[in-house]
Amino acid sequence: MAGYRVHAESVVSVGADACALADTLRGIRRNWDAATRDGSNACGLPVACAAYRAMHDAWFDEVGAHIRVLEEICEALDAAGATYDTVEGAEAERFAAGAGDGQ
Amino acid sequence: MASDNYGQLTTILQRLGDALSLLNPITLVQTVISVLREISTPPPGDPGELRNLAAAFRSAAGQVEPVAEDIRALGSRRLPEVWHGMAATSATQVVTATAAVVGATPDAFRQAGAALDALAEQIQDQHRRHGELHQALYDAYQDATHVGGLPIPDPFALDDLVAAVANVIRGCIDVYTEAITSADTATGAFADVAGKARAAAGVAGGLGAADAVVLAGERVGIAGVGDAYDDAALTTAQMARAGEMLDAMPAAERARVRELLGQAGSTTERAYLLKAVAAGHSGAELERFARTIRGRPPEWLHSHLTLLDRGGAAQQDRFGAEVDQYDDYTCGTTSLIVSRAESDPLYALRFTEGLEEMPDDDERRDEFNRRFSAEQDRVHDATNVVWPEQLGTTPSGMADWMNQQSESTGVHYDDRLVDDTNQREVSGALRDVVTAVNQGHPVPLLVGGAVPQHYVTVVGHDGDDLLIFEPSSGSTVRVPTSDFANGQMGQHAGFNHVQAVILPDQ
Repeated sequence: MAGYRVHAESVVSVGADACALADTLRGIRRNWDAATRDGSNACGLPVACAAYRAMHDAWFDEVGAHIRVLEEICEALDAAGATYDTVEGAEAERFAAGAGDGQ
Repeated sequence: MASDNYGQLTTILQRLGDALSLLNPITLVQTVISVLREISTPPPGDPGELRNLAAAFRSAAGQVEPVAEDIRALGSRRLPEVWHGMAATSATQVVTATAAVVGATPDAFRQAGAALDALAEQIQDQHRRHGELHQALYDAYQDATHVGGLPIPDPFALDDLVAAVANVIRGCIDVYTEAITSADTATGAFADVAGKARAAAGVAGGLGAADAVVLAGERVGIAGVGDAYDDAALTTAQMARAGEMLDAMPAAERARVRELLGQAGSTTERAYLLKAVAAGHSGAELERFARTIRGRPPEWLHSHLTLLDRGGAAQQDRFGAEVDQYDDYTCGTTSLIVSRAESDPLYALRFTEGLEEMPDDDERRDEFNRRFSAEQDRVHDATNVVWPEQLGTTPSGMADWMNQQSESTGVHYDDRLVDDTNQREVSGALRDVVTAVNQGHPVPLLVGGAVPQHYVTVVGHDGDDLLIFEPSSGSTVRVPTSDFANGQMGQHAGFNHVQAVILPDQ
């Protein structure tokens, strides 16, 4: 049935890639944050310094939201793959048991 | 404008102005000493460090780009290849939305880098000119107090020196004034970038990360309108407020609204429902609204739940009727109605609900006009209780009416007169307008020539342009921010000068 087709191992693998991308993004954010977090004073007047800090904080949180979603995707795909594994395992056992009955 | 926005610069400018007005041969030496003390430090800011920051933003932008590509590949190719079904469709939608918001990060970071570089260049130029002026003033001091290297005042050089010192002081005033303008411009640019962090606003308001990312990427796409200019379905402020309003609901009501959100037929439908949540409507109102919009296509939602087609400059109409003022005195009223409709889709729906069931285009157009005119009359009466209606609406009347909608908007508005001959005031007003609009709050402006004459509303901002709703033509127009700053808005907004702004608290 095409509507519910799933390759459990591949789904888990895609999930792992999402995790890896989350890690990459976290690393990029860490380096960017280290280079830019304390930079507001360079902007000079207080109004510009405050706006820089607000921009920096907003994007630190924004990229954080992106990272969190990638992690959620990773967990969800991992769980989906595991669930299908379990279901397929149970099906396999049932079929195996059925085969045994027939013998 | 608060003086602490600009540190000591406003005080220095005040004192330099005083020194210039008091300058004469008798006070020359004392004035020069005093001015040398005032300008002992250049305008603040570190151009080298700003360039380092700009480079760090650009570097991060370059690193994020391939990540966005990889996420896009996950959503468009890899996941659909290995997983089909309803859950897979939802997962794919989230991955695709994540790719879109991650893909928008490099542009935002490059925009930040450009703003930091521009500020660095301006501050560097101000430092150079400050150094030259400081030296010139020191030389003038030496000339005024020494003859042939001896510490004797030179009475024959005093008039020339007064003129030279006056020029130096004027130059210093220019440098410090430009420093303030540079700071205001950078502030607007930083606010523009901050306003694009919509998913973070949603998460901060209490939405789930996946929900926030999907909604942050939802755009209003109107065929033939503009070029995706400031066209988010939910503004940054609405993203944050939707979650806050949900949290503030009684548990049973919140559960029911979450159920309604879950039943939405599309992300666009869900975005408008959340917009209604952000506007502070009750569970019962949301229930009815959800039923009304259930299953409607995006075109229906956009044309019924706003009065403006977002996305760029366009003639604004609904059912063939222009969204415009009907006489010379209702520009303020029309601006207020459009501002409220931008915040509240149930309010916008009052003008358009059921029109599609009418038998022909003429009746639909006439009925929209009848409803819109009736609301213009009602709002005009409400904002001009004492003030003669023939004189239009006062800025304070505009602010009062906006504040009656604060349950929808979540902010308090104040009117602020702008002296358009004072560059610092105009610069500060532009900065605050841009900051408010970047969060998604419309800002009515009173514009005019020699006297105040007309209201328009700023409804968007991107880069160097404002998107303004102009009610006499019933259209949205792009206006360069430099035209706002330089009093040259006439070509787009009908009148050149901004004379008052109706601003939300930030």
